[in-house]
Formats: sequence, structure tokens, C-alpha cells
Amino acid sequence: MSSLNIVGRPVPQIDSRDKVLGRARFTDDIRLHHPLEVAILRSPHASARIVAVDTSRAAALPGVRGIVTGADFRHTFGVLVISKDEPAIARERVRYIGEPVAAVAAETADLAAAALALIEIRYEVTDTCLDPRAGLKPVAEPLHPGLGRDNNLHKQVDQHYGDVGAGLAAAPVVVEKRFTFAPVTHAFTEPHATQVAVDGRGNLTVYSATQVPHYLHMAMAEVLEIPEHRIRIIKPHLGGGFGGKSDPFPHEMIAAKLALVTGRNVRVNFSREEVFISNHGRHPTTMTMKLGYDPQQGVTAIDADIVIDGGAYGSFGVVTTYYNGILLQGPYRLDNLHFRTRRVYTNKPMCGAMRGHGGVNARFAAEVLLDMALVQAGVDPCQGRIDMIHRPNTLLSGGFRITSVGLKGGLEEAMRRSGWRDKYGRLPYGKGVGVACGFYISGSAAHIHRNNRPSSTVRLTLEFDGTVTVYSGAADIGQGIDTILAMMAAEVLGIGLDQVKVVVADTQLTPVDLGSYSSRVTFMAGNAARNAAISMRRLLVAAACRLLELPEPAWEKPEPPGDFFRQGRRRPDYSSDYLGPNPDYDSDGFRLANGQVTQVASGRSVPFLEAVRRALDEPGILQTFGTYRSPKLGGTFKGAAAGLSPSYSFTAFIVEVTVDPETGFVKVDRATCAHDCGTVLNPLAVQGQIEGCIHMGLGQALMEEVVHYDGVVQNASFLEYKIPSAFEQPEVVLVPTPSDETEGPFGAKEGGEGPLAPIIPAIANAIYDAVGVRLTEVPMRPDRVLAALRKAGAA
Amino acid sequence: MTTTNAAPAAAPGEQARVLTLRVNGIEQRGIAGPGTTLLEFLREELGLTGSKRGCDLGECGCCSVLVDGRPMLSCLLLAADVAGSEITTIEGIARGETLHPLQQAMVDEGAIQCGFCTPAMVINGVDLFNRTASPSRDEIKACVSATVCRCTGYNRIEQAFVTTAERLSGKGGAR
Amino acid sequence: MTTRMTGFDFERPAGLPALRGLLARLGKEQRRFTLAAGGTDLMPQLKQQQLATEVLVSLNGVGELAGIELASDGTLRIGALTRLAEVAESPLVRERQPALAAVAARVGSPQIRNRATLGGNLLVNNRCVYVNQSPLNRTVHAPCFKVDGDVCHIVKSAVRGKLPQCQARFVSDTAPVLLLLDARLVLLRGRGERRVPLRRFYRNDGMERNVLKPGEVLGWIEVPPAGGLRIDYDKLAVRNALDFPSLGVAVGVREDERGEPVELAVALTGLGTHPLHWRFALVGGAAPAAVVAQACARAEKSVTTYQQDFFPRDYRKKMIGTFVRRGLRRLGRGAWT
Repeated sequence: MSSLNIVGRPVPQIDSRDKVLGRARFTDDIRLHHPLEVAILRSPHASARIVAVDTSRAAALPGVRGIVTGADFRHTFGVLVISKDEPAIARERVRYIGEPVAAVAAETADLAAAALALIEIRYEVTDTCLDPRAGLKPVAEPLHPGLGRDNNLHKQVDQHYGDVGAGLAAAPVVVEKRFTFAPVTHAFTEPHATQVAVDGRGNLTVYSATQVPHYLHMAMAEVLEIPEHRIRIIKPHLGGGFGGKSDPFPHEMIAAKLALVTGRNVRVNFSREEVFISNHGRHPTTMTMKLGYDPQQGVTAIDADIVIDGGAYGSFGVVTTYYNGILLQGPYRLDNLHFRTRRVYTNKPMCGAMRGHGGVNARFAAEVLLDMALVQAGVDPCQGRIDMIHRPNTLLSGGFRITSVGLKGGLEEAMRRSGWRDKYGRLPYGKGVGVACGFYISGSAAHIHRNNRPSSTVRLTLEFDGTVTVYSGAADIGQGIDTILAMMAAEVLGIGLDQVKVVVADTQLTPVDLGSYSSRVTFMAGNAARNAAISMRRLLVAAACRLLELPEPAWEKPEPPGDFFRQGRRRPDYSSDYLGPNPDYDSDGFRLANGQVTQVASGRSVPFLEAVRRALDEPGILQTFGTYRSPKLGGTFKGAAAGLSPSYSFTAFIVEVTVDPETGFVKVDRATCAHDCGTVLNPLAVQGQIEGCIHMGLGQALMEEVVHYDGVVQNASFLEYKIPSAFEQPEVVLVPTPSDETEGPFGAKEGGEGPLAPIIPAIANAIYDAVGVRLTEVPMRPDRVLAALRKAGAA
Repeated sequence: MTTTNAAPAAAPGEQARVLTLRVNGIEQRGIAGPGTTLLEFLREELGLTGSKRGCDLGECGCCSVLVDGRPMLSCLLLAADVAGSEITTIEGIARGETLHPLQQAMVDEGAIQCGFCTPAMVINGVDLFNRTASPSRDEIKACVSATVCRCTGYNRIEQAFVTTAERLSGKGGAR
Repeated sequence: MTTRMTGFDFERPAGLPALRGLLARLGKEQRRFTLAAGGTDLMPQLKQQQLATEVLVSLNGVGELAGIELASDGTLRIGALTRLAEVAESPLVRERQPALAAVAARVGSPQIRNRATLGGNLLVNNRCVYVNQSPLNRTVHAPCFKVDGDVCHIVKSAVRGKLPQCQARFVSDTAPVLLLLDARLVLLRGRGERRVPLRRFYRNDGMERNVLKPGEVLGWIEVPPAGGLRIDYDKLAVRNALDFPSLGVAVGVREDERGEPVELAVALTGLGTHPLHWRFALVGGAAPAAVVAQACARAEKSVTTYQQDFFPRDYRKKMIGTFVRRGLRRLGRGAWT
């Protein structure tokens, strides 16, 4: 492969100029013609039957144009096919405080608010289940009776790999602890917002702050009971998601329905409180974990019993239930694993996917226990970990296929850069260093909806002026996928970034990408864009060959992979654009650079623009497609698809903390991070993702906590839900952590979520090094640190 | 569902009237009630959507604008209460297509992810650099801490401030 | 949904005479009005319907009440409308009362300090987890006394009208420092004015918070010369940004002309309904360390705190002594701790 022009260089996001000028249009910045304002009435009860709904007085208020209630929606929905349990508006019962019970569209926001006050809803309050432990016992009225259980269990996963009993019995060191994790939430800065334009034929254009335009498209068609072609989803600029906008939401259904019934454009935006009470954040978790360690073999076994509090509805919860256990299979060798995770419905806002989905809390437990074991065994916590890291190209007992792993070298370098050997165990009381590692998926190999479509498809068009336009359904949520798509095309075609436009996240114009979640877009949409560009490149090389009167190179046409779900059944060759996994693009003897298409061997060349015209003159339009499909992976047992990914990132953190033994305050001074995301496509973006993970992990580690009183979120504000400020953020040192990833685009893996999980236990382990106490309750608030110190007799 | 077609009533207790504010150097008119905030006025009446509504309670900082040169939270200001003041929004910071040095540094340093807090970071930074060309590390931290950013961890933003200071003092030079 | 404020009229008198005239008229018309200075505390309360008003009177046109002057006796006369940023940045304040300049810089966020006033910070409303909430939240728990309900969720036995009826906690950062500095408030009423020492200003209640009478306007804050008193203020807060004090401790040591310590003073905010302060003589035998221990014990014993904050109440209480001792160390009196 020839040297790279754009990949690997620090590239500002292509829309950063718009953002820094205040011109970038977020959903609520769009100005539709004379929209109605939507207000949503929300339940003041955590659990109640809706006995009667009377909207007549509200409807009589002049200026009110439409009112919808639960009766207007027959279908429930949910991001996972297996738990479509959420109504757009509660119908017979409400399950959490803040659940929509009616909505109004009116000429002004004040009128909409006034109308809400006139809606009368009679409730019959029913038993409330707020504690997941209580929900595991039989209850009089389960939240979701349709599951046929006598309790509030939503999902139980109980899986064994290897022989945990033997693994623990053989281990010289066995440690066990119980951990609790408070609920935390995404706290993105842009509140949820949706605007819907409706045309004279009843077609809807939905502008929405969503990470998943495609899933929203499908869910909305189903809930509104109209064909998909009548709905066009557009994701404008999006002000942060972190998983919090990765479900279809009730307000999106409500706005669309109100647009349909009023025939008017509508607009809905959330207050900050509404964002908090819609939640979808990380599950509050209690976890008992036992870990066996043998200095010769590493971790011999992990046995975990986990209860996660799901809140009122399913969201991504089934996946969370799996991820809490199966993501313990890395980053270290582990042959014996048993976990049981139970997700329980409670009368609280639902939990779902949040950055590092499912892997974060279990990672904390495992890394703290491992640290205890290493200390007991007298093994250096860094070295002990290095010795156990997965080797490249291994198949794990749970079916994960590990490809590239660069963590060993990265952690060794992090040890040097952080001065680990001089610091660990040697700093004065109150100062400490700690280490922890993690790994994460680069997208899920299996689709949420069982089908054999590509994970991501990209269309690329060529213009007469030699520029290209990338069309992709991928959702830029701030992580910079628009820029990555442009980089892919520019690199392959040998043109500048200014010669690439991107048209994205518009279901009318762009081919399907499944969305921005599970760290999938760079890997999957990036590969699709790269492949589309490779196909375009071949057309241009062919045109150049015609101009130079040379024979066209013979490009290979590989077989596409088989059916993902049905092992062994080959599927028909429906993709003439399939190029094989991560095809090489410039081994055909041609080079596209500096405005020329050159045959390398002969040095003969034609101007790039001439090749473009030769290629375009005849058809008048030229477009190519690129797709990404995961290779077939995993076993055939139930749940085998969970956590499968074409590639995994690996991370290590070494953090330095100062613990104030008088107040219990923990200050993270420095975080040294080795993150193996394969090839660093854009150093600015990777650095930003890692630093963002540190921020969010720091918040969960030390201060963030959604507080419920009687089921109501009591700190639904940026003042009371404490996310770290610039003062709390540590100095960050990133160390190069290269690996030989072969399937990612230009060798890239994920970088946006993996670094979150290990920062939290690294802080805990550093606290132990500093003051000798093990914190098992997260957040590790000052009062908890102080209480632990007192208990240890040190304060 | 219910749909109705009656004429809208005036909002209760509102004495909405034409308000003229001096925004980005020119007099601009819109309709404001007594309780209309500056943020609402800028966004809904003047169409200046660069100032963001992140919390509407003065906690996130995303609605920051300059009032007589100092950053304030436009969601906590009544539009009628700043009549006579000079308001500068993010739309009024660049000189034509020439970015303010801090804007340029934010772009160059990758200080921008989702971009929702970016206008406010710039507004607060412009005030800082108006007061001092070489802010201390703590002054930068204090300035950046004025706005909630959930994406960046603030490191790259602080770096943009450092780079701006270097460029303003001629030490760094453009990249 | 955007939180809009409706249902009130807006007045912005230009100058003190206009303000006096307006207040007289509103009094005659018996209209419920609310005075707003920076409004950074008030606007969220109006938006969340924690309080209602018929007329919102902006003081921002009353230029007479903004600015900092030095009287011939060395007293700083600070207009109540002086922005906190101006207090923090004022060379006069920094030179004469550095502790006041320092504490002004610890309030809220930079944008809040650019708008919020020193007078407003002294009058900042008491806060409670059951009050500073949205209307939806407040319907879940029955509305409490402070929002025109008939219960206190913190002290169930509380009775309306019998102080303390409300346990909403006091959160002004500047009050403890100004208390130790013996600040006086100049309160304007009609054409007259009265002076009230800050130490007699606050009342033990989260609703009837102070002795300001209806129609009375806080005009100036007078800060006499520090007279050898050096003050350190620090606050317990999760973050070094935005947060109200979960506990704020001002510690002062007064020295005589020879530099000998003669008095220890402690003032607290963030706990209880009003700021508390104590003075302890350091002359006449008792070892300073014993006085410090006595002061900490006294403070810990005197305050009433409830589970109203991010930090548990026992922790906040325990931190009083810790903060006093740390303040003393910063004042160079670590030997007493």
C-alpha cells in the first residue's frame, strides 16, 4: 500500500467551521413554516391505572389544533425487536413518573402549556416497584404482565463457559466483593428535539435529534401505521448522544402523529428536566463477583451474579443483560466464566445504552478484584495484566474472534510514560497510581433486525468537476463520522477533502446505515465508504486506461460471506459490489495523486479530470456503492450473537490521584491512556474521543448519580446532576498503541467507547495505592472515601 | 385524537410589544412579552440560533452572549431588561469570513465535537482574550468551566485557548 | 418544552426617584411585585413556578445603586446592584477587603458573576430539594410551605407561621465573609433609609428569611475597615464551578497592631436556614488550639442540617471543623490546628 495522504493526519471536522460560527443547524434551529408547538403531559404517578382521560376542555381552547392520547396509538415500539414494550403515550397504565399521557399541538408554546393544564386524567394509583430486588419476588401486579411472570423480571441470562468451579478451586488467590453502581445518564447538551414537516400528500419529513435514523424510520412507520415511504427522517447536526438518542422515542411518534392529524408542521423540544426523566442511561447495578487468580495462569475463573435495574421499559436492556457478563471475556485470557444477569423492570424512567454499554460496571468489578488478587499475590498490577492480555488472532471460548491486539506494547509504553515503576507503592500517603484495562466491540456483527442486509451501505457519485459526494445514512453525533467518510473517499481517490461532499442521515437520499451506537460507524460505515470509493477508483482507472490505450487491470471478485444467522448456508451472490474484507485499493499498478492518474510502472499518466470526463461522458452520471458486512462469527448456542464484533479495541489506563484524607476528595491528576484502536485515522478525533471518555468516566467514578425520591428524579438539572467541569478533568497523556488490524478501514477499530470503562476502576485502584482502601460503591464520593478511611482506622 | 379550528386567544397576561435591541451592531426588532428571555428573542424572533438552549435555567452556559462586552446567560435575561445594551451573539464574532483567533484555534485543535457548546465556549473566550492576551492556565480553566461540554473533556478546548494565546503573542505562529 | 415565563408585567424604572415612585404606586394598587437585580437566582424560580408575581421590577436601571466608593473613614460603600464580577475585580475591594473580592469570585459561574449582584447574593433564596424543582416534580411530593402548600417534607411536624416553618437552606457565599467583616446594610424605604447590621439581618427560617420589609430595597452594603482581621473562605462543593456551597466556612483571625492574634471568628453558610457566626477571644490565657477546638465543637453542635444535598448531612457537619482548620492553615495559623 502506498503512503497515505489524509488518513492518519489531524483533520478538523469538516463542519467545524459551521459549528464555530454558530451556523450549524441543530434540530431546534430549523425553521419550518409556521409550526405548531407540541407540549407533552406527563404522569405524576410512578404506577397507576388510567381510569379516564378528558381532553374536551383543552380541545375547546382557541388555538389548540390537535390532542393525542394513548388511544391514538395501537402499537408499542422499542429499539430491540424482542422488547417492543413502550407506548408512544401511556394507554391503560403509567409505569414511571414523567411518562407521556397526552400531548397537545397549539399555535404557541404558551397555548400548548395552557391546554395541558385543562386535560383531566383520572388515575388509580397502584403498587409501585422501585427496588429491583423486590421486583424479583412475586408481585401483585407485574409491570409487564404480557411476559407471563409473577414478578418484574424482564430478562435473565445465565451462561457458563468452561468450568468455573474447577477454576476457582485451583486458584491460589480467590477474591470476592459486592459492588453497587448508581444510575448515571448521558447528559448530552442538546435536549431532545423533533420537528415534522407535512406536505399536501400527507408525507412527513421528520427532523430529529437521533442516533438511529433508520430504526426511527421503521418504528415510526409501524407506530403510525403508514408505509415507510411516507416518512423521511433527517438527522440535522446533533448535540451529543452517547447512547441517549439511540432509541426511537415517544416524542418522535407524538410529533409525527400530531403533524398527520393536524396537517400542520409541528415542533417539539424538551426541557432539561424532560431529558433527565426520559433517561435511557446506564443501569443501576448490584453485582457480586468472585475472581480466581493464579500467578502462573492469570485469571482462572470469574463468577458473577448481577442485578440491573431496567426501569419501566425494555430499550436496549436485553443487550445490556448479556453485555454485563460476556464482555468479561476480555481483555485477558479467561476460560472459565459464569454469570447470571437479571434485568428487572421498576417504576422508574427506563435505562438503556450508554457509552461503553453494558461493559462498564462489570469491568469495574473485575478490575478491582483483579487488582486485589495481584496485590495479594505480590504481582505488579501492570505486569500481571500485561501477561494475561489476549494474543492476536485467538478464538475465545465464548466465541469471540479476537483479531488485532496492540495493548501489550501500549501498556508497557504507558508504564514508562507514567513513571509507573517509580510511583506504584512508592508515593507518599494520599498520592497513588492505579491501572485498569478494558476492551470493546467495533460494532455488533449481528443485526438487531434479523436480515442479511449490509450493516452499512454507501453511495458515491462523481461530478463533472472531479468532486465526489458521499451519501451515507450514518449519523454524525459529534464523533466526526462525516469527516471520516470524506477522508475515506479522499484517500482512496487521491483527492483533497475539499473535493468531497457528504450527504448524510437522510432516509430519502442516503442508503441505510444502522446508526451510531455500539461503536460501529467508523468501522462499518468507514469500510462501506472506502469500498464505494474503491469501486469509483476502478472506474476512473478504467477510463484512464482507455485514454492511455492500456488494458484494464484485472480486479478480483471475491465471494461474499455466507448467511450470518444460518451457519453453513451460502447465500446468493446478490452483491456485485462486494469487494472482500478490507480490499487493497492500489495494488493495480495505478496511482491517483496530484491531479493525475498514473500507471506507476510506465510513468504514463492522464490528468485526473480527463479521466473523470472520460468516465462520465457516456453515462452522464456515475455512482458506485460500497457495503460493509461482518464476517460470519460465533457459535450456535442461544445468545451466541451477543457481543460478537468483527474487531475489538483494547485500552489501558494508568491514573494518578491525590486523595485528601481529611475530606475524602479525590482529584485525578493525570491519566495516561494506551488505546488500541488500530490505525489512528484522525488523531484529533481519537484524542477527542479518549478525552471525552475520561470526562464521562471520571463523572461516573466520582460524582454522577441520578437520585430518585419515590420514583421521581430529584436532580434533573445540570446544577444538581454533577458532571465534571474543566477543573476536574485531568491532564491526559496518550501513548501510541498500534496494532495490525486487517478488517477495519485502513486498519482502524473503535475509539469512542472502549476508553470509558477502564478509567473508573483505574481511579479506584489508584485510591487504594494512595490511601489503602477499596471502594466498592460507585460513585466514589468524598463521604464514601472518608467512611472507608474511618473504617480502616486511618482517619 | 382531537383537532380543532377555533381562533387562538392571546396568551394570558401578556403585553407583547415590539422591542428593539442592538444585536451584533445593528438595531433589530421583534415581538417580546414581559417574560420573554433574551435567548427566546434571539432565537425565535431574530432567527439567531447560534445561541443554544441547553437547559434554560442558567446551568449549562450554552446560551452565553456578550452583553456590553461581558458574557452572560441569555436564558436568564429578560429581553426587555437589556434594551439599550450592546448584545453580541456568536453570529457577530467573526469579521466576515475571517474567524476570531479563538474560533480558528478551536477548529485547528479539534476542540469541536458535537458543536452544541462551541458558540458559548467562543463567546466566553472572546471576553477572556479581550481582557488579556496571555491568560493563565487557571484563567483558561475558569473560562472553559463556564460552559458544560459533554463531548471533549475540555482538554482540546483548553488547548485551543493556549494556542490562541500563543498566536496572539506571536509565539506559536499559524499551523 | 421550553420553560416560558408569563403572567406578569415588567417595569424598569430609570433611577432611584423613579423606583421610589413606582414602588409607591404598586403599594397603593396593592399589586404583588418582585424586585429583580441580576435575576440569575430569580429567573429559574419564576420559570419553575416556585414563585409568582404580578409585576417584575428590574432594578437594572437604577444606576445609583451600582458602584463601589471608599468613604473617608475607610468604609467601602458598595451599591447592592454592583455585579459580583466587579466586586471581584475591583482594585479598591482587592486592596481593602481581599477576602470579599475572593469570595465574590467563588459564586456560581463566570457568566453568573457578570450579571448577579452583591445585594442579590445576600438575598439569594434559600434552597431545598423539595422546592427547587419543576412543577411536575412538586406534584409528586405534595407542595410544601415554601410553594404555598401545607407541609414541610423535611420536618414533618413543622407548622406554618411558627418559625422555623421551613428548613430550606441558606446558600449565599458572600454572607459569611461580610458577617465577619461587620458589614451593614442600608435599606431604602420610601424616602427614608435604615441601617441594619448584617448579623441582625437574617432570620431562622427558609421562607421568612430576613428582616427586609415589603417595599424595602437593599441599597448599599457598607463594609468597615477590616481592622486587622484576615479572612479565609472556602466552600464544600462537588465541583470547582457553578455549585452552591454544600457548606461554606469563613474563618477570620484578628491581629492587633503588633501582629498578635486577638480574636478567632467563624461563619458558616450552606447549612441551616441562615448564616451562623461566632467570635472567640484569643487573649487571656486559653491556648489558641483549645479555642479552635472549642469553636469547631460549638459550630458543629449549633447547626441544624438535613438530608438536602448531594453530600450526606453527617459528612457536611463533620467537614465544618475540617474546613475551619484548613482555613487557619491558609491564614498561617496551622500551629493551632
